[in-house]
Amino acid sequence: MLNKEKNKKTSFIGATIRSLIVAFIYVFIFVGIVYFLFSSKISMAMSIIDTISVDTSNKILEDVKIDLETRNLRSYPEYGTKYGNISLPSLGLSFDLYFGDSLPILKNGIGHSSGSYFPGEGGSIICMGHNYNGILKTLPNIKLGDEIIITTSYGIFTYKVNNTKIVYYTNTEELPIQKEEEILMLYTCYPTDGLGHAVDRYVVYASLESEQIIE
Amino acid sequence: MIKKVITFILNFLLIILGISTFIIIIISKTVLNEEYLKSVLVTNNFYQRAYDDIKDDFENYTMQSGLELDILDSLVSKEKVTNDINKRLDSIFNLENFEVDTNSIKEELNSRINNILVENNRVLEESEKTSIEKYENAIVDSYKSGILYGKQLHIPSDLVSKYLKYTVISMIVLILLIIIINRKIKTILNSCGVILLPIGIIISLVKPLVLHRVQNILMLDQKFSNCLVFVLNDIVEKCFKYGIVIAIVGMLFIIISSINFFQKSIEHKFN
Repeated sequence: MLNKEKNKKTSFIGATIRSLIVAFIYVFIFVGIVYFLFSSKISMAMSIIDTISVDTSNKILEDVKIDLETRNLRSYPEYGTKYGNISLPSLGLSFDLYFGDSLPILKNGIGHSSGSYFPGEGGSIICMGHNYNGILKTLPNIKLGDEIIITTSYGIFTYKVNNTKIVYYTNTEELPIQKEEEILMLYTCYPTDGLGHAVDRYVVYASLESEQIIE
Repeated sequence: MIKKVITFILNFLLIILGISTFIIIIISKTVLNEEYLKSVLVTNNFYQRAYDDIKDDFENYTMQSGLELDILDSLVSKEKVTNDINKRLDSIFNLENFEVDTNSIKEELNSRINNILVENNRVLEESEKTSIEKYENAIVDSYKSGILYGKQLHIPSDLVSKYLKYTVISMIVLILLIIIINRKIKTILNSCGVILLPIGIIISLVKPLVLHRVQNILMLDQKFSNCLVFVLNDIVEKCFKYGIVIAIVGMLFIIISSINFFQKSIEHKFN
């Protein structure tokens, strides 16, 4: 009787284990076939997913520093983030300065063209803002010799206005990108009291007068 | 021996078909289901965010135009945005082309600008008239892109049912073959178990492999991405949940067939 019970249990366990082994063999064969046939496609899909995934955590920008030897920033702010302040004391204006020039950025303050250099890097810096009330509507009132000050976590840069121009919006040669001289070019749509989609830009050119690097 | 080999192969084919059927059903109930997609939009507050984004775009263009922002007051309602998005979704599944109605927006905007000009005794120069026209077109185009998200897309509704029919028929044929070959209830029960258990395991493996990768997807814009991540999470959770259930059912079939087996085995040994 005892043997009967023992055999009962052993046969049941044996049959179950055999079936489980077969089931897992199926799992491994399936996974193996999928890997063999589609591994490159799976890798491509995973890399595409990684490419379109972004780290959405907020980053603090205090670590943006400039290398005084190479005159390049050691790390750059992320597109769309505020990295400083730009002020025009003669006009009583002061705005947050953002890296990037998309419309949502310009709604919040002054944008910095991602194709230009940063303050302190010794090249062209192109910034822009709307000609709306409270932003750069009064920019045409600026005079030669007035100062524009950009304050960042890595330094304070003071520029002196030496030229202004009205340019057609497609005339990008009037906003040259170069690294021989640090020139700030700040522009807005013109006329500032016009209506509708403006095709001209009022551009203020200012050269670097002084800098105060924060170590 | 040959019977066992054939049964092994048929079981494996059934596993592949079972997984395919499961995937087709899950996709038909989620990504290819219009009501499900609408519920995802509601859950993720898509309509409100689309309305806010459209208003933001309108403000951006207006801030460059010399006009005050109050010209945009109630220019577009949230109901219109919701209706247009729903119509766009309908057009995807109805295989119709959808044109966003922007005439009312343009006419209203034009009327408001004319009122401002009259109030301020302002006469526009020709160049300003062109600028106003461009501004109105920019407003209308930004509304369209906020609703349409690109080119027309169509999904034939019978696509899924066609593939489902093929897989189900194939499965039925294979099951019948297994029954004909084996004819023993314990073997058939065992086959059910060794088919369902791997299906359940493989489907439930999707969650640990995929879930962490899809959380930070950013496509088109944030609100669209939120909905996309929501759908992917939902699909992955469904795979995990139903995978576990299928695996447990498979285990039960294996246990039942083993009980059946050892009863016969004991009768065989002691008779």
